[in-house]
Amino acid sequence: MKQLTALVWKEWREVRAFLWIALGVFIGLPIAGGLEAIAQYSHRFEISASTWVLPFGGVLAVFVAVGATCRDFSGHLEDFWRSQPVGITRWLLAKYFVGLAIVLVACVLPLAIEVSIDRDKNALLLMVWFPFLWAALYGIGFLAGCLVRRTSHAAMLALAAMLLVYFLPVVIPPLQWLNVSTVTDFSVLIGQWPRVLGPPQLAFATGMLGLAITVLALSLLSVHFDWRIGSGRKMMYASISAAILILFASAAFQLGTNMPILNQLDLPKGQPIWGIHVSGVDGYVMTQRPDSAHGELEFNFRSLKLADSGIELGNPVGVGQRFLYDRGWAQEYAPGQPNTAYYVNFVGKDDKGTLWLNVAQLDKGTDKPALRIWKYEQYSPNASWPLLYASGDRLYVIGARLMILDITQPLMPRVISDVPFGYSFGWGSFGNDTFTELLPPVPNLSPTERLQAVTKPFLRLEGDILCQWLWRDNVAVAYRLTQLTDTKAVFKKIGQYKPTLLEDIYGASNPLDLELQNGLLYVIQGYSGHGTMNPHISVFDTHGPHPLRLIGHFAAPGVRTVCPLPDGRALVGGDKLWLIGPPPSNGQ
Amino acid sequence: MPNLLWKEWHEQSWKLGFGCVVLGALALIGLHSRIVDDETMMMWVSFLGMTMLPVLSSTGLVPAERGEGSLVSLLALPVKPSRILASKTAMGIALCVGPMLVAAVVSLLAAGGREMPDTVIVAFYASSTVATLSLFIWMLALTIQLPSEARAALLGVGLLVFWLMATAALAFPPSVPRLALAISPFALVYGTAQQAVEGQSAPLPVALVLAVQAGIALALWIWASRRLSNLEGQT
Repeated sequence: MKQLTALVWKEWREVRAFLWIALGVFIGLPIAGGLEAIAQYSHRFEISASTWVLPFGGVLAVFVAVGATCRDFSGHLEDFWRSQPVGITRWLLAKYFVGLAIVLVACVLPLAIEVSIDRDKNALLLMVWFPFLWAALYGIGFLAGCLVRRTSHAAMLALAAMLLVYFLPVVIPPLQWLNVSTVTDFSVLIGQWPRVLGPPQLAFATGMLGLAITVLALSLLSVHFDWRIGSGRKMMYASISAAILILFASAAFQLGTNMPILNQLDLPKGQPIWGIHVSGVDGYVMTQRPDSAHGELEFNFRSLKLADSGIELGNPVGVGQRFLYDRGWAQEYAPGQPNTAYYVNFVGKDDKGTLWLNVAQLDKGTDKPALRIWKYEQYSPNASWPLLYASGDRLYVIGARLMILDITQPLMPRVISDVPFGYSFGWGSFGNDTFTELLPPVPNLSPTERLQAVTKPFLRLEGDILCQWLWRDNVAVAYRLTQLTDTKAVFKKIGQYKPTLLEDIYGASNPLDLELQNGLLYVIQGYSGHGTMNPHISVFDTHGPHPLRLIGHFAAPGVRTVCPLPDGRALVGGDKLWLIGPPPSNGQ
Repeated sequence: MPNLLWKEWHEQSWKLGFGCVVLGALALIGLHSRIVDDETMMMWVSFLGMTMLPVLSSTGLVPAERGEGSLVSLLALPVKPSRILASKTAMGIALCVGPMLVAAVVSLLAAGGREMPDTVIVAFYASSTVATLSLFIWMLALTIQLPSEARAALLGVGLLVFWLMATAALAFPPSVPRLALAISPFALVYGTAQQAVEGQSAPLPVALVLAVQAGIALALWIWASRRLSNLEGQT
């Protein structure tokens, strides 16, 4: 016992400097930050230790472990220790646990202070579960020190391994349970205590504990059998670059493009495609006009034909800005005539004016007002922007009034009914596990058509599946229609997809638009305005036992729009026009 | 001279292999998987090359030799210091050009004509290589009297950061004469070239930039050669 106490005392004397430094960084700097906040804007002293402990806790663990091992394995010190009447295992274990205790105290104590002082209690999750991660990283550093025995080289090697521990679970789905982000649910409100214990946390802790025990056993064996790795610059370069390449290759494996390009059409530079509309083999694209000024885009209409020989585009016809959003809030096509569109615009001054229905001939670049709808005043209780819905030879204007128009002659719509209606669109409970939407009681429209009319502007509906991206939570959600009556539609959430950290890094947040066809949800992501944030399309399968399973990825320059075709292919618009095949597991 | 070149090759060739493998593998994985669009991927590869290769090559030539204590012996040989520096410079150029060349060939094979024409890819890597070489000469000249590889690497990283910031300052404000950008090692690479493409500024004449960069490189090399000669006198 006395011998062990002496060993512990010796180790404590050698590594305590790390503790003082770490406490200075993890407590001293946050205290300074808290005092600064009080002086500037806050009325309450709060200490944000987790912002320091989270990124540097692992680094500290590696440094302490490498420092503790390499110090006694350098030069003749090792011979000295081996000549002492102390078991090598006991000596190593004393070294291991003293160093680990230093790391845990240095990391946990600041977090405990934060939890006790701050109103935000999320640091409790770090305090409870991150020690398992730090123990694993400490063990890796310890093993590196035992094998390499040169401080700088062992530290670099251990830091490379730390990168793998942090990021391999992010990029390799089977290792997802070891991902540190699975143990931290920071969604609780300030003042509330987070849920600490759950299956993901237990799985993570078990995995990290297993890793820590394994590397400790390897460390003991390596010292016992005198295993060594001859390190040098070459090994350092090779290990770090190998770690980075492994991470990159894993990311590429997960997010690489898997939808083949069947055909592509080059476009003149500076004239990317912003919108595609196809009906059968005919349609059109909206291309940016080369003379568009920044911030005030003008567009050309170009007819499109999908022929066996490839994609054919017609000559550009200037159409200004107004026809771009082909599925906007109040725009509709004449059934069977994709070149004829109806749209609503506001004519007036400031927030008061009149809404007009216009008829546009896209292929000619012309449009004209066809009907005055109603007065519109923003923020007034009666403010109601209408929905447009066309079915057969009727066009429905649904809002404060219900107007039914005869569009037998599409360019000359004729009012056949105009009555007060008082409908106002809203998706208040969207995002909950179930939600109900009241349908406008439009005569002559079936419940399905009424549902299509209200979902068309913002949501994507195909059959009984409804999808949308919740920007607030940065998740895609899928619902199944469970009840449809004349007056209401009830949906139940069947799937949700939150991009992983890796996908966020590669531009998955804030999608530009979505399309739903053939049971596949196409999400346009990564477009930043200049095509530098990895513009791409992610494809999700909405069928199967796990709806919203990511099955496709297509990255290409300036991707802005997608138009899925009924046969599984899709037209993608960006700096070029691509015709791509379906993702490999489509329909399986 | 051939003996000096052989010595440098013997000592540094592994770095050439390392650079070729890293840049080539990165380009191959990224372009084969199409994790991002081709231009972005090539930009990543080029940026890694421009930042990693000059530091890797310049620090291993003179400062490493000094750190290991072999520079004194080398300078004691009956060879002009300028010749020693020339052989080291040649090896450094190979260390910079080789990996970029491999990355360019891999890119052409994996993605040539797919999203970008071959000529654009070649021009892309050529301009990145010019920037890499320019940075290498800067680092070679400034680190020639440093006692260790680690310090040289720190100075190299500092120089890199300086030029990145200076290029931003030279490229964006309209008050700075456009031609002043020609002194930056990054004058021909993506960011500044892209501005010209987007019509935000007139493109710099390539010949002018190359001439300015060549002049700067020559001046720096002569200065470095003199510093090495002074070292010889001291030893």
